[in-house]
Parts: sequence; structure tokens; C-alpha cells
Amino acid sequence: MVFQSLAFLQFFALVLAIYWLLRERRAQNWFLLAASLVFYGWVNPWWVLLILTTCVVDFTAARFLTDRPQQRKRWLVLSLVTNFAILCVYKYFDFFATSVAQLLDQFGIVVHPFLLKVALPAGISFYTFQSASYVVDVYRKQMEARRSLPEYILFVSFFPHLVAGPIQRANFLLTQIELPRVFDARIARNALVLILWGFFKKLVIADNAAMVVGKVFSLDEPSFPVLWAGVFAFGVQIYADFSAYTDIARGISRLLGFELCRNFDHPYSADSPQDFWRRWHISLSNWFRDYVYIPLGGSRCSLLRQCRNILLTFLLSGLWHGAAWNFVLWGAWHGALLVLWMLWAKAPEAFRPGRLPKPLRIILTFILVHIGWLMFRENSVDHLLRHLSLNPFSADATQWRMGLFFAAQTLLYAFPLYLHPAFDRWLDRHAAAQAEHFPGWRWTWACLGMAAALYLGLILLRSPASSDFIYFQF
Amino acid sequence: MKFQSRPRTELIQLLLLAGVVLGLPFLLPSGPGPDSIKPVAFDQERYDKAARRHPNVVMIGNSMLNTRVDKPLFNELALPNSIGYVAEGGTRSTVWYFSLKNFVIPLEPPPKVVFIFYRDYDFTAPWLHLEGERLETARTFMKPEDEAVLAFARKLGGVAPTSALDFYLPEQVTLNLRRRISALAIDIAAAGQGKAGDDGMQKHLNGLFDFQNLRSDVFDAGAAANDILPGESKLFTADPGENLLERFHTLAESRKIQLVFYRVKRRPDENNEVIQDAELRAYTASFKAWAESKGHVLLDETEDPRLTLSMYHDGDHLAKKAMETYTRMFLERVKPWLPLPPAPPERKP
Repeated sequence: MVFQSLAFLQFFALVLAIYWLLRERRAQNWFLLAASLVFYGWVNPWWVLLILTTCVVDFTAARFLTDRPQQRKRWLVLSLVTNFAILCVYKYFDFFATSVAQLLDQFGIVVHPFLLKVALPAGISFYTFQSASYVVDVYRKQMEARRSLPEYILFVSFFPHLVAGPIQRANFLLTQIELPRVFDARIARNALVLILWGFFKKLVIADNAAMVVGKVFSLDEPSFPVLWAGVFAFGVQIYADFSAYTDIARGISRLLGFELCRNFDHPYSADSPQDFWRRWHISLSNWFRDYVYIPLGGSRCSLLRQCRNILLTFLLSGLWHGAAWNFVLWGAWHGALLVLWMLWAKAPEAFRPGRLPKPLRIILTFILVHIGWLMFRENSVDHLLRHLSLNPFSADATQWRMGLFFAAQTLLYAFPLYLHPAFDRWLDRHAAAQAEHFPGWRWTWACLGMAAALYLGLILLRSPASSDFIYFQF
Repeated sequence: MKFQSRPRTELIQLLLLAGVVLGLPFLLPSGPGPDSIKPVAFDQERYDKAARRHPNVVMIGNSMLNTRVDKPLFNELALPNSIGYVAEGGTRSTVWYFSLKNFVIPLEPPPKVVFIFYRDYDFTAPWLHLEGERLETARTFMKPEDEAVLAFARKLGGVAPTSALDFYLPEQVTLNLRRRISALAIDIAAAGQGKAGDDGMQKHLNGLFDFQNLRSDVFDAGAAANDILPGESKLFTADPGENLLERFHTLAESRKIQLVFYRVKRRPDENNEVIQDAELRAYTASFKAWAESKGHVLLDETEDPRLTLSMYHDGDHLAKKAMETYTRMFLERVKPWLPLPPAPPERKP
């Protein structure tokens, strides 16, 4: 079930009404759990069994970790092996089997690999990481093992964020599940605006940008300006698409009395690759930092080891995104960027990146990130190499104008996305109002105006071809 | 329900916001539907062009026809027959019905044979490609009295609103706005070149996305639309309440035209085979039996081993370089159904 479908809106209206009619927290949790499983099993009921398996194994492992201190490591390993075995079978088996066959083929050994050809369960990468982090947190004694399996399953399968995150930590979401909720009209009012903004980003900005991207990437031999206009459009598409899902998920959660963590903080305002990763897919970046980078040694080791840690973390992050070489390459590219930028920051004072004016650093980061987006979008390695070797000087004036056309078309739809950081900065100036969820009629009128503008925009500018959220495939 | 203790006005504020969200769409024109769409004129020029040739054979179809048959070559090979073409990329069976009704039936004298190129289930999914800009294209094939058929086809399934916004989508307003945004982007890109620059830009853009400039490994949305049809569309029926097949027959019969339903070979696998399940085979057999019972013909090139994967470009489209070979093969296949036997090729001395 996707957020932008009529089925979901009907489903959610029903869930919201019944949920708040139930007075007891336990009843609300049971109901939310049932709703989450219905939501997840909507496309393929068998997927519910898979998520339940993950939940039961991790819940049990965490319990035994606490109850049997002498077997702590054994239970941790059991949980991690189960989690990642399921993920590997569904997501990576065919990729590795094909890759090995291709490698052997290079040496003249022809192998016809056995392929599972199974559909990837939606959100498996997200919920696997979320569930695994709970067991590791219990192992590290950062939180106590829970006693209620239904509440744990609800934590993993909570439907607003189940399919594409943000990846929640147990000490953040599970603790909210364990506490009573109250309906706050003020929060609900703001949540409605957030949901509308999410739908606007998805259906107007991302889907219209997707049409430009689809056209450009369907060309066999695009010219330099046309290709990079397409990459720019993809940058808009993926940010609008993914952040839209997060905003809708957060808005829906707020209507149910929950708060989910932020996943984006204006990533294209980043002035270094490090800064970009503090602003892009924050929940995944934090996950990799806490459960991969720091255990590898983090930055408290030699420079060489630190570089290795960064590269390894980003290679794994690339692979997390998808079982294909272009994602691995994308991860490697970002790892290399972080390493090089870090080394640059250690150069003599006069040559450090900090010496560059901030707008220049932002532009440089923007360009580097978009080179990465080309790797992310282009799944044919042959085409990727051809694209990267395009010469800007071989394009004539007409091709530059066509590139400008695609960029302008994208920008016209994405204009609100680029205004958003300034708007957020303006909101930040009203910190007191923000802390109280913007009380009073003044803010209500502002919300009404925004809601009306967003809604009209949605109805009038919505792309005729709506696609699934990009991160559904991961 | 437990409430956070807030002044009562806060609930009123929330309800006001919800009211905007629910009420705003009602201020817009209703849609989708005929009321929200300005009339698009029937393409008389297309008809005149087809009529001028006085064809005794007409071919109707979409990109399956446009990327297979090399028209100038076929015109030459099929002489003394005169061939007319009514082919528009992206169209499906409802538009083909309008093509037959409004472009072929009025021809004087009427053609003897009409070929209709199609893929697997096109005829039992008449609602396909009747939305948004495609609907505008469809209207260029329609006369005012065809609105009822269009509404019937749209109502049959696929075009019913699936998204909440579809209930409120004023199609014409949306299309106009989108065109304006596109025109503004062209203005920006062709800045300083005036109207000629804008026109030139549009021409270059059209040329850029010519079939032959597209990658062969890209997703073919047209092919996918055929593959994800609901199960009931995959059971053959000519029930007039389910599709337009009987109407095709009635029209053709009124002018004694023989219809040839020409099923194209979909993109084969590496072994040059098209995987067809039992359902599809049964469907095609039933379709063939129905066509023959009505005095028409169904030709199926799916099993033709000469059509290999190497001849395909993207999706089910053939590559330009394969069109000549295909056209000669096509002539060979359809020769028995051409009204006049094609003249043997002239031998060079």
C-alpha cells in the first residue's frame, strides 16, 4: 500500500478514527500492530511472516542476552546471523551468484548460476537494520531487553515508517510505544501541513522531475549538457521523493501521537561531503556511524585506519542501497570524497577547504554529490563510463540550450524545494513558538495559507505519471 | 480519546485546516470527465491525407506498426495496391476503433482490407491509454458522437480514479498549466532567439527523442502496460458490454471490409522465443476463432523464428536497421490478403 493511493487514505482514515476511540494504550498498541501487519501484507501476505520471524528472533535473542549473561555473545551472533542471512538471501543472493558467474566467465569458465529470482520484500533493509540495532543496544547495555513481544513487533513494523524509514532506534520509538499518547490538536494541525508538504514534494516535484530524468536516461547517447541536466533533475527527484516519504511518515505518526526522528536537513546546503552526510538520510548515516564505523575504530585510530574505516563504511552503505555494482561504486565514491576532504582539511592552514568562501564550498559539494547521483541512477556500467567520459566542449549551442531547457523545467517545479531552507531558517527564529508547536490564530492562518497553496499546487501541478517512492526498492 | 489540555479554539483551528483540505477541491472544476476538458478538434488533415491515396488497404496501429513497417518500401513492394496508414504511437484499441470509424469507413471507395496491429490483450483492455495527454490524442480521432463510446471504454475499468486526487483533477487546467511551464522552460532555454528559437527548440526536442535515439535497455512502459493487466482482461470475450470488438465487426461489415487482426511478436528472449503462458495461447486461439467466425482473419507472427532478438530496439519496438528485412517478411506473410497480387520485383538487366 503506498501513501499516495486512495486505498491508503481510506485505510488511514479508518485507523485514525478507531485508534483514538480506543482509550487504553494496550488496546491502541494491539490495534496499531494489526493495522501495521495489514498494511505490510497488503501486497504480499507472506512478507508478514518474514518480518514476524525477524521480530521473534531478535526479541528472544535480546531476552536471552539479559537472562543468560554467560551466553551473551552467542545470542548476539544468532540474532545478527539470522537478520543478515534473511537480508542476503532476498537481496544479495542473485547479485553475488551473477557476479561470480561473470567473474568466472572472464577466465573462460562458463557457469549458469542458480538464481532465486524472488521479489524483494518491501522495506526489508530498513526493518532489518532497525531490529538488529535493538539487539546490539541491549548487548551494549544501552537499553534493557523488553518484555512485551507485541510492543516490540509494533516498534519494528509501525506502518508509517515501515517501508522507507526513517530507521528508528528502540530508545526513541519503543519508549514512545510504551507510554500513553494524547491527541494534541495543535500538533495535529502542524502534522496536516507536513503531510501536505510531503505529498507536494512527491507528486509535484519528484514525479515531474522523474519525467525529465526518465527522458534523459532513456537516450542512448545524450550530450554532456543534456546528461547533466538529467542528473540535476535526478538530484531533485531523489531528494524530493525520499524526504517526502519521511515527511508523510512523520506527519502520520504525529497524528497518532508519535514523533519520528528527522531524516533530512537541507542536504544541498551542505558545504562538505561530511556535512552532506550529516544532512542526508540522517537515520541511516547515524546507524552506520554507531554500528559499523565506530566499532571499526572510528576516528580514534591512525589516519590510515580511519581512511579504511570510512571507505568500508561507505562501501557497505552503497551495498545496503541495492544489490548492484553502481550502488557499490556510489558508496565508494562517497567514501573517497570523505577521505579526500578529510585529508584536504589536514593540509597547511592556507590551503584548507575552510579557506574557500562558503558558497563556493556549497557549489563544490553540490557538484560532487551529483556526480555520485549519476552513479546511483545509471545501472549500466557501460553507459556510466560513457557518460563520465563525455566532453563538454563537443556539445554545440543547441545541445546546451536543450540541457538548459531540462534544467529550467526541473527548477520551475522544484522552486519550493529551494525556498524551503530559507523558510526553515525563518521558522528557527521563532524558537519559542516552535517549542510550543506554534500556538495561536496567527500560526493557524499561516498554516491555512500554506495548506491551501500546497493543496492547490498538488491538484493543479501533479505529474500525470506517478511512480513508487525510489527508496521502496531498498 | 485523551486530549492534550488546550484551549477549545485549538480544536477549531484544526477543524478549519481540515475543512480547507477537504473543501478546496470543490471550488475547482469537476473532473475527470468531459466537463473539464475543452474539445479537441478531429484531425481533418490526417483524414484528407489518408483519403488522397484512395487506399484499397489501410493499416491501423501504434508504434508497433511505426517501428516495423518501412512505409515507403512497403508502398513500393505492395504495388499495385495502394496503402493508407492511420498509425499513432501510444494508441490502443479504442483509438483504433475511432480510426476505423472516422478514417476508414468514410473513404470512397472503401478499402477492401484493414490491418490492425496489436499486442496480446489490447482488444480486451479498451480503457488503456485514455487519460491525460493521451486522451487529447484520442480526441483527434473522434467525432462528437463518439463521446459515449469513449466514456464506455474509460468506464470499463482502468480509467476509474485510483488516486484520491483523481477525484478532483481538472485535467484541462492541469494540462494547460503544464504546457505553460514547459513553454516557459523553452523560453528560458531559447532566450534571445525569439519565436523562431522557440519553434526550433521544440523541433530539436522532438528529434532528440526519436525512437532510434533511445536506449534499447530502457523500460518500455507500453509493453509493461500490457503485462500488468488484471486477470479478467486476459480471458477472451467479444461481449459488447466488455469491449469494442463487435463494434469493429459491425463497422467493417457495413462496408464489406475484411479486418486482419495482426498480432506482433513481442520482444523474444535470448533464444528468440516469446514466453506465452497457457492463458495467452488460449486467448489467442479464442480470438482467432471469433475473427474467423465473423469472416475476418487473425495473423500471428509470434512463432516466427526469423524475428530474432537482435532485430529489436527498446521493448517490443524493432530497430530501424531491421525494418527493411521485416517489411519484406511482412509482405510475404500478408500477400494472400492483399486485394491485388503484388507485382514481382523488376529484374535489372
